[in-house]
Amino acid sequence: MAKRNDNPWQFKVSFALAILMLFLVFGYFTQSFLEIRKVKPVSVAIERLSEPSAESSTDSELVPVMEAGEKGDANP
Amino acid sequence: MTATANTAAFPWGRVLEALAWASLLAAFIIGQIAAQTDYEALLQKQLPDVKLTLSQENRELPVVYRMEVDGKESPDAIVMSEGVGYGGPLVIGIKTRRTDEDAKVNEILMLTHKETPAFMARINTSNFFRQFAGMSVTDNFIIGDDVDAVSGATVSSEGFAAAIREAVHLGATQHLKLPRSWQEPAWRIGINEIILVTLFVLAFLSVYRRDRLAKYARYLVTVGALVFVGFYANVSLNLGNIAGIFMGYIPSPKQHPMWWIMIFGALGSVVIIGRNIYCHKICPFKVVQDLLQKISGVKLRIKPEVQRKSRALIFFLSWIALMLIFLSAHPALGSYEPFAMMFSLEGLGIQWYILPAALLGSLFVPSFWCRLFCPVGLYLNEIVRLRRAIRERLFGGGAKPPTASGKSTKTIKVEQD
Repeated sequence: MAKRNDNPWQFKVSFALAILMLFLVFGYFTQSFLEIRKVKPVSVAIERLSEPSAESSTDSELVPVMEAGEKGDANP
Repeated sequence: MTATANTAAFPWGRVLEALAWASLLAAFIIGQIAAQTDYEALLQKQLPDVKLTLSQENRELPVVYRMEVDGKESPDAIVMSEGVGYGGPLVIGIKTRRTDEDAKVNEILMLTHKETPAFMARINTSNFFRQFAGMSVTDNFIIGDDVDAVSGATVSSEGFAAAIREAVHLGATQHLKLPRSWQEPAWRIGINEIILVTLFVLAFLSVYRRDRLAKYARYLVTVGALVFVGFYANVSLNLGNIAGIFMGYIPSPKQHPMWWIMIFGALGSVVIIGRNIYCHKICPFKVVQDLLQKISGVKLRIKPEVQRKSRALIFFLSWIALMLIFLSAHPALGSYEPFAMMFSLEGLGIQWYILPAALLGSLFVPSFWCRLFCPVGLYLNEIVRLRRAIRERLFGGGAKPPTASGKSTKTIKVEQD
């Protein structure tokens, strides 16, 4: 019974399945990372923190261009 | 997130953990600053030939823009609004035109959203926004009353309708000084909400009782979890839901009571009674995995060493996922779970390969996804663990200590095979 439980092929197969899954999850993260690269959040955030009154631009669809004092700070 | 460098005297594990938390905080702050909404820029992108002027009446909410086209003032004005959809916040512009009596909606401008592309595709192809054209600002704008939801994207439809409703009604009272003649949306407590509450109650019963009633309850909950929570309502919890709570993307209880029931049911069971009811009874993907196990009859074991390290692995995966979510302020971008693909057949790119791989793993390894990859399960079990630790400290021993993988020996028996 103990021999059967310690059968290494079971461990190998389950480990291989886990590794396959891990590769796919990392693939998904890469896909998401490529997606958020379009957003450029870090550069936009730094621009906004360092010079809030200056005009900035970005090609992002999610992060809009900021303009002086024109922020939509009123949130209905 | 937690390293296992036991040999070194230097506490690498704690340092890594602190760095992980600090980086998450930094990503959160950066994402929130970067995602602040600039209405005019968003509008200008969609209406490049239009000159926008902030209305002089903007001492009151909502924000309204006047329009000039070819140097001539347009009779239309754009009322801005924000709401919360399924994936997070959304911003819309509502083009309205003043009439003798009130004002009418001309067009809805979808400016930004964080819905999954598949949901948005459904909304766009169903012409959801077109139904608002011609409606008076004094109409109700209530889903199921004078507005139809899009099947399969109900929460997003509710989010858009609520954002439109709040903005136009606010504009009607504050800008146009019209009397309130519309209905306010009622609580949407219907059969779906009752079923979900019933499932949680039956799940509690099946845990606490050992009689025939518990047996029937267990069968009912299993079927209900798969059919109702999974395929019908598709409200299974994922990492995006949890991250969304931290980012304030919380739908109103009136708009989406199912979300609240699910959160209260899942968190309430771990906090109040110290049992992870959600993972073991309500999660539809767990039911799918169990079914696959029954079909195959194969129960491959995971190497104990791998199982022990799974906790660190899931923390690491969820750290990456949360970094992506916080930086983009977009919960759907980091949720790597295959639930949405399984139950609504919606997914993008590599997500489609994650689902068959998870199913294949579950065919041979019991609770394959839960044991090695599921962040929600780990977080809920961590709360159980924390609760036990607090309880032991306050009231002394008695409670069983959690296992090395952070799972309770009593509640996660399938994971300790």
